[in-house]
Amino acid sequence: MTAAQDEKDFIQVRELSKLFHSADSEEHILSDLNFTAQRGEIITVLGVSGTGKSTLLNMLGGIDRPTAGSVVIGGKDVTRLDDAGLTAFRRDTIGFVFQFYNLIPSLTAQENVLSALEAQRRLTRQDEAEAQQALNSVGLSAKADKFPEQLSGGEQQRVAIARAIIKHPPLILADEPTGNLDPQTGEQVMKVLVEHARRTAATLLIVSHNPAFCAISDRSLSLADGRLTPRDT
Amino acid sequence: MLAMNLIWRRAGRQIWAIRYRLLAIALIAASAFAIYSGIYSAMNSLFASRDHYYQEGNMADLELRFVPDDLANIPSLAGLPGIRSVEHRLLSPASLTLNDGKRLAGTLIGLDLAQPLQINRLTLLEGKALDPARPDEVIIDRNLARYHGLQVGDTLDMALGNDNYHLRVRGIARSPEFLLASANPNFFLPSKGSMGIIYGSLELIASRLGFPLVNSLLFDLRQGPDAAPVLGQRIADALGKRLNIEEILPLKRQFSYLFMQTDLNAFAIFVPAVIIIFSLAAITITFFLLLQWIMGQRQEIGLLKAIGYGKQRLVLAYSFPLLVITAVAIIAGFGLSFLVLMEFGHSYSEAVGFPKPLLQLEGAKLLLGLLGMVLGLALAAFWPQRRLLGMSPQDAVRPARGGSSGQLGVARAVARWVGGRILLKYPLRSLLRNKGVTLMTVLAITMAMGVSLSYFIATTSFKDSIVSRFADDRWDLSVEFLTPLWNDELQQMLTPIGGIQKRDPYVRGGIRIAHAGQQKSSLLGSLNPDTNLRHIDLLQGSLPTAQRDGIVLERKLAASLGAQVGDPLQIESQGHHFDTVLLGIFSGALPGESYTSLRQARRWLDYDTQLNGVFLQVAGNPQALAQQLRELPRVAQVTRKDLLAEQVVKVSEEALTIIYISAAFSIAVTLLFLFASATFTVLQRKSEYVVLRILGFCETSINLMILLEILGVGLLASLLAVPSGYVIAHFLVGRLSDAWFSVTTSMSTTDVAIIIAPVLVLLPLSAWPVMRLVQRASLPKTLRERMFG
Repeated sequence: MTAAQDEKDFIQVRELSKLFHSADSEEHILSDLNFTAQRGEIITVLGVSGTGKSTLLNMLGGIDRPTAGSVVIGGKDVTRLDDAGLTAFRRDTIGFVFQFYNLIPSLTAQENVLSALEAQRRLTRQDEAEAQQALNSVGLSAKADKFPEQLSGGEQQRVAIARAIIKHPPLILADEPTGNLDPQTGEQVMKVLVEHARRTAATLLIVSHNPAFCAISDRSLSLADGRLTPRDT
Repeated sequence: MLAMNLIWRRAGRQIWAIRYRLLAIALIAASAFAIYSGIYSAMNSLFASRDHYYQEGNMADLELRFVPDDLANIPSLAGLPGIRSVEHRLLSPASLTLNDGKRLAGTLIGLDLAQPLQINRLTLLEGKALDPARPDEVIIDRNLARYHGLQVGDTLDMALGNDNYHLRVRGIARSPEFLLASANPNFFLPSKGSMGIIYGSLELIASRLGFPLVNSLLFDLRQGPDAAPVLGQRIADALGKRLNIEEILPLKRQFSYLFMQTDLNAFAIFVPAVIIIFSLAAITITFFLLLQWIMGQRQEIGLLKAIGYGKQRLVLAYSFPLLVITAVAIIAGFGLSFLVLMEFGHSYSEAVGFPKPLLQLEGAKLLLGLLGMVLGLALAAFWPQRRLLGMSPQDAVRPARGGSSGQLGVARAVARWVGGRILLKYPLRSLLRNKGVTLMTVLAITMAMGVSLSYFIATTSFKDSIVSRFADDRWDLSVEFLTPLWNDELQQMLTPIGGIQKRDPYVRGGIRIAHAGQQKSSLLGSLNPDTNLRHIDLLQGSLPTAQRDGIVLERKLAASLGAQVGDPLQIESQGHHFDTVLLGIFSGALPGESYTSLRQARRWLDYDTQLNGVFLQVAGNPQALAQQLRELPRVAQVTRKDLLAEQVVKVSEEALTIIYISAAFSIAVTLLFLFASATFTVLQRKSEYVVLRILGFCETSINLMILLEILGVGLLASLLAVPSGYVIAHFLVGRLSDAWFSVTTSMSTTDVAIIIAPVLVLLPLSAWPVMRLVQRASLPKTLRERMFG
């Protein structure tokens, strides 16, 4: 595959299935799911609770493995990677934003942001400046030394965004990024995320049950009964 | 009722899932219980066995030793009030030559077969009783048979004074008097088989002398051994004009009695410390397990509360693991108590050459141990149960927080101060976040390691004090003679022997010392202020000198007389009275010793220019010279200082076995603490480690963070364990000094290394299971748990 093709079909999901086994039954969360996404595209996946939105995101991000099918991102088949390969893939390719922020409580805002870089390399003074810059971009330059418990929910989510964007990943995965925030704060947070994606040409995939995201997305998809379908905007 | 059953059924299932951890805790708790009941029962059984053997052989309540005299001169004492019966005998040092040519120090006990022989009665183990018609046939003590392979029918040669006897072993017997055999009456140490005890007829010696000679009277007192000190004095006063009394020996000053009492009491000092370690382990680990279990069930407990379950029902249901631990611990505790009883009782008896002990578990000790264990476990469950009671129905819906960031509070400033890479920062700050658990873990480990370390420091101090005591002695060989020698005879004897640098002749004998209405028997030894080959560990005052003569007393003897340095004392010896002054007080292993100058000792003991032993400082190898000296006529015993020091170390090392076991256990406990606390704290923050994994931290980095967290606790505890161990050891050493002799606390690097090194080396082992759990944690599943601060 050429570089141009990589850009065009940056994400290629083919026949993706996920089956959950319980003691006496099997449940198809995702069935033969197919879709592609271009580099720099902003996509919202909508669906009600329990439809497998987070599962899809987890498989795209190398957090979970599919039962069948393949996920190729930037020309790399994620489903064929071993644990170490997946770790490297997440480290170098993905920026995660979670509904519950998932900040490390014993690290300050700046240190939480830097943790994404430290996973990649030995930190330098330049990295610290970058972390400060990332916090500036989310409007938290004054709170770099605060611990998560000293920040509001919206501020914590902005730190999480700064952590996701500092390494300029080609793909940002956001799982209900405003699910825990009030509408006004949610709007601010999304603005930051979208602006960054546009500026860096990162692909942004948002999963949510909130249709309001469709307005800021290039494309919206619906996930229901294990299948992904385009949604009219 | 059905609902209640459901909770219990569920609790049962969960307990099954953690059954091995519960079993481990139950065994630790059972060990604490077993050590308490087992060791104390064993110690009491050993004392009871000693009393049983005393009763079996009707051990003399009192013995009076005097200068050998014709039996015809011994007045009848049967009519004296308080005396049930009295028997006479001869005690004489002898030199034995066994069939293989081996020379051995011995004691002949000449028995008057014409009297009933009811006191210090022999229990015949093999062969036949003494026959008055066959005076050259003797009975030997069980230890002579056991440790030198002598059997009934064997022959041996005995040198007694200037006479030699060829004897045949007629029987082997046990005497209550020699439950333990001393290596040398001068040194308070049991040494199996080093002294051969022979029982023969008085006729054996009478046939050569022409009259029966006796020097010991054994008394069976109506009021038992407690009456011995007072009655002994009265008897000695009554006999004083007729006999030259050397020593009044109540049963409680007899070697076996005194040694066992002192040794076991000294050992008893260590037992509470061992019990503390085991109890601490059981309490802490139970606490962690229950807290972890209850915190893990938080949402469920909240839910049960929300749907109407009362606190009492929940507390009862969630006490199930504790009930299981207690039940298993009780059953295991009884079994382990029996094992400890047997192991300790038999090992101790074997170490000191005691006859087969009669061991039994004491009901009171079992009950107390059991109560202690149950209370300890209840204490461990208290806080987790309080947490359970404090949970509200809201907990069912509130997302759990992995080591809430709120706990950072006071530690925040310190946390900021911890800089460096996240790899270092995260584990150290995590310790600060869980400061309560961290502190508790550090303290528990410090205590476990500190107590273990204290055993080793105390034992090292004990050994070093003994060894340095011998090192301060400048003699290499101590030679005792069968009969007193004149100075010129000694000169004549030693002149042909090369390699002797210095000699220090001495006399020893029994005297009685009086002060302020108190009178006590003492074994008097002599010192030579010019040569000073013998070291005295002086606590107060000074030693006799050529200018200022007087006496120095062993500290317990001085205390029993109520005498202070400078006090005047009255000496009674050989029917004469002397006035002297207390010059100094010293610490010694053998209670009741006293020393004065050679000149004065000779005067008091009526030795003229005679001596009954000599300390020698030699130039070369003492072994060869000792062998040469043993071959000389009239030499009863040659003691090598180097072997004596070895013997001391050997005896104390036998006692060390339990210390080593406890130390090994403490190390295991330390690792278990670390494992338990790491499991608790790290797994509480499992989701944070998962986030770090999602962010791309590799397996090695994550493992390193977990290891650093555990290392942090381990290192801090190890550092604190050293001063703690020293302080505890200092306390133990103080108690040892009270029980035995003056011991100085000394710590060696080996003591520290023996405890700290294995812990540091094995630390990663306790981290390993947690690392695996974190690495194996499912990323999506953990994210779903939403356990974030």
